[in-house]
Amino acid sequence: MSISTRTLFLLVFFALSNAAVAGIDEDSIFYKIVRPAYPMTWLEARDSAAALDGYLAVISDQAEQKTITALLNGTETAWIGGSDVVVEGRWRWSNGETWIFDNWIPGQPDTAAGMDYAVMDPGGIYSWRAASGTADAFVVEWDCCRSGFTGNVNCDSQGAINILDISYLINYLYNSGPSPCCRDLANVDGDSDNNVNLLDVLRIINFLYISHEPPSECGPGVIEPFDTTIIVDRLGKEWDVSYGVHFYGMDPANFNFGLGAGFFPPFVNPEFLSPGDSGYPVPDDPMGILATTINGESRAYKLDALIGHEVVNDRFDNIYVAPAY
Amino acid sequence: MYSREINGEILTLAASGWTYNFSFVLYDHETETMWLPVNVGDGGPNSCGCVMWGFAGPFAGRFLHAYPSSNTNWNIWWPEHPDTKIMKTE
Repeated sequence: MSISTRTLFLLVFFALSNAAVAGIDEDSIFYKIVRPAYPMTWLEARDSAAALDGYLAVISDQAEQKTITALLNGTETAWIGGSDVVVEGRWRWSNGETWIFDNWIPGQPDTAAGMDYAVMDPGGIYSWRAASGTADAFVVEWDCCRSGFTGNVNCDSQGAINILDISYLINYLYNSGPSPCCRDLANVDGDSDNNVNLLDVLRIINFLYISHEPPSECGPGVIEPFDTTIIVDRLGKEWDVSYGVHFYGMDPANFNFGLGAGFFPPFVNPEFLSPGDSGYPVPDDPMGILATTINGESRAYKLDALIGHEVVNDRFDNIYVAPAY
Repeated sequence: MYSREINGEILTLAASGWTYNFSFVLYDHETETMWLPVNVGDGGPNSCGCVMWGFAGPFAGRFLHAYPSSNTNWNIWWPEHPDTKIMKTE
């Protein structure tokens, strides 16, 4: 991980440390508390964490213990990755990491039969005890720098907007001399100061990982009146671009052509050819395409066909996408 | 390849007929928000932070995230994805 990216994770960590919604430590480890609809066994929690492309948390020092404790609500129990189910008394982390630290409640771990899984116990101020049965929550950990990592909290900066995307964004904003336009792009500006700040970053992360809804207090806040800027296209349609001009410094003179909505009619509800269908291209056809794989299904869009339409309104089951040329 | 769902609302995206700094400006039929593709990456090897940015209209200040996609050629794509579908065009 580059120094600048490390700085970013630290930056995000500081933002998070005030609000206890999710946590990142300086090694690019990211934690989240998952509260399933019903109390899960450790095995269910372990598999659920894997389904999220993460693993049950590994706690290797007091700082990590503290970070995770701050995320818990004070009354819930939460599974972490420790288990001695393979050899009684030999505690191991489920992801294979070396066991170098523990934080058991005095008298723990319980060696009774079945007490094979480590849970963070609110009764012990989130020190650990060996348990069986179910827990209210579990702690998922992701490591963005782990090789081959493909999860949503990822290092490839593709797909869904994710924590690394945010770090790139912040890196760009703080370290690469951003234009005011780009700076405002990241601004979920609850405080309307038109500058990215830690509060804004926190809101973005809360939106992405916790609520998936814009925070209620998020928004433009109190907007002072500003000038109206209208551009008119060749069909006489008026486009109000005031917001972009005022908040992002867009220059109305940089809007060109104005050919009119409808000049490039988009594709809607496209149909597809499958292998074997009449008209399906031969394998060595060199034509240019836009291509994607979503939900395991691959689709191609011929670039020549997109010219003159520019956008396809497509869907993969419940994922609505717009290939655009 | 952009998402066209925001706040649970499905948008129909289309070219507005405008360009801004030579990029196509899109708009959506439902809200007439104007959308501009922007790259917010850091220029590094993993810099694709492309999003569709709403700069005017009801969703101004919001963005539509991107899904991974590639500009490639059929004879490169097909051998790796022999089950791929292709959009039917007349």
